[in-house]
Amino acid sequence: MQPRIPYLTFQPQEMNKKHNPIVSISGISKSYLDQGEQRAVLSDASLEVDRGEFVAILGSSGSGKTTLLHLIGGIDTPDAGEIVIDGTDLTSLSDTARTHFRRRHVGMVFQLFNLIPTLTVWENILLPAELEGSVNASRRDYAASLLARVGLGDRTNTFPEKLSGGEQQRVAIVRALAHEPLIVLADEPTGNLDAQNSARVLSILLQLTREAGRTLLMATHDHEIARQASRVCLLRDGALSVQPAAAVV
Amino acid sequence: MTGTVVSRLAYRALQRRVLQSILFVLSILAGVALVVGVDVAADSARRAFSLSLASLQGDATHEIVGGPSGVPSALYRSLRADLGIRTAAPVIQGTVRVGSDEIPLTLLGIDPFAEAQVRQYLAGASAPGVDGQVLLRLITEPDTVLVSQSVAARLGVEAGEQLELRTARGRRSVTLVGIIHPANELSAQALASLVVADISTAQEIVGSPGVLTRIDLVLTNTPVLSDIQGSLPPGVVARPVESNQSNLEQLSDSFTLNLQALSLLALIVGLFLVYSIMSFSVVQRRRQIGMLRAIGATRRQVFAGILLEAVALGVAGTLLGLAVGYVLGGFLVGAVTRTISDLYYRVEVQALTLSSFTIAKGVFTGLGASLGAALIPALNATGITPASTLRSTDAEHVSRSRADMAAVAGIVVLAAGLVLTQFQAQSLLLGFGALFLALMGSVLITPLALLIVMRLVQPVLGRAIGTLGRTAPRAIARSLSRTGVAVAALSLSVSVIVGVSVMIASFRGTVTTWLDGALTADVFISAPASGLLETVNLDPELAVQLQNLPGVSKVLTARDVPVLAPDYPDLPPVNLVAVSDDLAERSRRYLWLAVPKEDVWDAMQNGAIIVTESFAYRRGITSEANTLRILTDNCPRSFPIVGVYYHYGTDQGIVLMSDAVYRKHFADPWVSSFALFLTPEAQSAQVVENARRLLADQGLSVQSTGELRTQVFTIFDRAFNITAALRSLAAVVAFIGVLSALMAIQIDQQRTLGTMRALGLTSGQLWRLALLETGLMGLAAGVFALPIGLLLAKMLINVINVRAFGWTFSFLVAPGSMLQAVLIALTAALLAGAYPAWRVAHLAPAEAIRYE
Repeated sequence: MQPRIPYLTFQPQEMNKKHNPIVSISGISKSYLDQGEQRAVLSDASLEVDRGEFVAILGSSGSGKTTLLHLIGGIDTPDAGEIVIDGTDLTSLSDTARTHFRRRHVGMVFQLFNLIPTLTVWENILLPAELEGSVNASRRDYAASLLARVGLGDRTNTFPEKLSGGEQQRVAIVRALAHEPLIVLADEPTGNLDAQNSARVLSILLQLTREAGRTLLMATHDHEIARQASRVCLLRDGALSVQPAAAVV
Repeated sequence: MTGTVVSRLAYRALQRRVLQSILFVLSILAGVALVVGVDVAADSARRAFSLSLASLQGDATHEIVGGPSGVPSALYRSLRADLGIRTAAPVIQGTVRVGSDEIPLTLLGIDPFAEAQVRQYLAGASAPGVDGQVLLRLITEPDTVLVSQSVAARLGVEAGEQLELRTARGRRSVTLVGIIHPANELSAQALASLVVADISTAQEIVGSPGVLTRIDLVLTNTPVLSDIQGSLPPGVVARPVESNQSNLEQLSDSFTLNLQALSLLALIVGLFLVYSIMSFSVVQRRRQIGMLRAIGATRRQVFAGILLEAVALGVAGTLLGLAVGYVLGGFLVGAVTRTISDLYYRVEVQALTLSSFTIAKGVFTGLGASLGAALIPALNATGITPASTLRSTDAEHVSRSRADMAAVAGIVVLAAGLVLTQFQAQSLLLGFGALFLALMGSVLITPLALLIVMRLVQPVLGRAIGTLGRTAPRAIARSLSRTGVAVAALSLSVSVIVGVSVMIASFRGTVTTWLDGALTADVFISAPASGLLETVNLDPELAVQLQNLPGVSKVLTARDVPVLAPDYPDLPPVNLVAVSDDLAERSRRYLWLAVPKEDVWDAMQNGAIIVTESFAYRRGITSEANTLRILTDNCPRSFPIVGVYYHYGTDQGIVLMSDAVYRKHFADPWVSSFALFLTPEAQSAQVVENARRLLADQGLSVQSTGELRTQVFTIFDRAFNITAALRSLAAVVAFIGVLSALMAIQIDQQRTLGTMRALGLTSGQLWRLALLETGLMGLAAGVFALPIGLLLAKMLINVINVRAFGWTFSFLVAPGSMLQAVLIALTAALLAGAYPAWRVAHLAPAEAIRYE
């Protein structure tokens, strides 16, 4: 039986007091070669996120929100700086070690859902755990319960192309949580959905992460969504500033 | 204005897809190069032979020829003196081997003064460094010859030096009195393999005093021809030269047509590749095309844009293909001429021929393949609507339903091909048509077969490997529009390997069995192989000397001569073999026999003949139509045919006659070869050694059964070398196709693969997944190739070879070669997949996820 992480409510002030950050970024920079010129996306950015916290990353298109999430998730590497997740310095890991870390400790939700079209809903959900070799009965039970929670318990053998956009994103949320990661990274998860589906997907994402006590970092340009976070990271011209949600929105 | 927009969009599309454009050009290049290369090689050989024949025949309109006994010299004198014909030139023709390398050359005996009336290759030729009396010396001095510059260079000799000529009658030293500098290309080609001598010198060298090979005539009116025909002795005829030339040229037609068909096969594989590339190009641009349609582009403009791209790339591929094909032709011509010289007639190629027909054929096939293959993708593009572009999987749904339609069409086309083979017509082209229909039909069924197989293996792999095991077959099925075509192209290519390999193995096996039965003697003695058209005159007295060698129990003789069959004026002369006893009486296999097997030899001694299968096939000889008229020394005479037997020595066929019957009808004192039977205690090697010593001066080839068998298979393998080379080139074309398809699939799946990396798939796992996909495709292609290849082999053996060569042979399948074919497909796919897989493994997930 896998240990279940107990239900945590968001208590950022309390967490800050303990000062036990699960995500610690210090002085990271990232630039890309764009038509022969280096374009800085992030410059000397620093951030600490506590366990169980929901942090929104707010910025306009092209401000570097996705890049920041990719760096935290270990699917990209910074030009400079340090990224420590739960005591592990990602910048010191090899590509393979980062991949292993990612499959074990990171859950990801993408704007375009990015379900694997050749896998059924059930196979998509269990993919990270299967890659890790940690599929067992309790993991399956947990995944099934999550799927039931998002209202898709009867769609396990369906292929993604048969699902609507909202349904696909709900499956993607379950996939991000089913292997019980340390952090969940969501990149504009409602960006490709209509208003009704957006609200439903957001509600499910927040509810499930909160219930499971997961740390959630979500990139968005929607101020309404950011308002529900404990803190907001503002990205502008490559600079990152962290503020309480109430102060920004 | 509209045209400008369409061109600009087509140009930008090409710019953005450099790799695909390169693969497109390569596919067309490879196909066109093979078609042009084979044509250049075949045309060069044929043109060289035609030029030699044409220039040797000069202005001659008719020729007087005899049977094995030749034409009496007295006839020439009588034509000039009694009939007053000045435009006649006597010719002696034979084979000599020259120098220490024993280079085979044609000895041409002429009357230098009569020559100018008939042909001009000596006119305008000069012999610098020698006095102006070269021709006079040729006539007045015995044992003098002339050769051309190119022959002198090959032999490394200069004017005034001695040359040693070797014939079946012995060695003879002659003086090179001059070197001919040809006045033009025609003369150069004519003289490329000639040693020119005066008539009397040539008669002495060849050993036919008082006999001419032929008399060439330039006749302008029919009454003169009637006068000539009236003055001819029995067994000698006057005939137009054109028919002879075309009869000789058609000897190698089947061989070259087979090569051309094989090169077309490579083009078809190329066509599949282009289709695959263009299809992918359209799929990739569905959104863009949808947008264009949304802002007002018509279907016709979209269609024109896609075709314009295909034309631009097709032109590039075709032009490069023509250039590469010409170079390839240079490499192939050696192999082609070698085989033609081995099997049909001696030919020396001085220059490559790139005919306007070949260029037109290259352009037509290159552009036709480009446009033809782009047509369906272009039509698909016109069906794209702005609304449908938002549904990314639409194209694949369509391709799956198309797989069903293609399979139905495939079954119809395959059936049409099989029905076509049932027509009894001898047309080789019809045979190839049937073959291509059957192949195309099989290939059309491939995508659906792939879909079914992938569905079947999916649960198996899922149980064995897990989720990733299920992903691979599903990905293949999902990208059917690309994978289907790639697997079809690879199957087609491997099926060609299977088909041609089975055909060669079956042929080899049949020839082995045939040789076991045919080579019943222990030692064979004949002149070195010099093509079909040479007659070698050996003294029958040699048989007595050979009989006296220790260890020899029996000596048989064979006389091998071309004779005329008046009922078949459009076919080459008949190869008549007259044997003193039946070598293979018991072991010979017959297609049909009119008498009991044990009575065949008796029937032959009573005047009957037997003929080979290919001879009978070409002349429509059956157990009902069973006589053959042959022009003997006295008159045309009918011989009853009592059997048709299997024989694989020559595709022109043989008439086998008893020596006693032959001598009765032909005043021919010579023999052509000997077969020795040894006593049980005799050592074959020792007898061979003794015979070689005895015949040292004649330059005859003395071979044990084993050596002869080796020689037969050396020629056999050489004949199939070029086939094997083309087979490999077809595989290379398929390899390019699979590579392009896999690259396309990889680009197509980039976001999915990036997501997998983001979710925790290591680069090693991704690499293995990509290889699993390509391996599955290769394996499927290999397995599909087996039935298609066996069908191809069956048709090659039962339809093509029968129609091309008149041979039937057993169908022999080696299980090892089947396994090998599957491994070839698997290896090709894995090799082609290695780079795309490497790219996948090194995919930066962050970039891939962003990819649209």
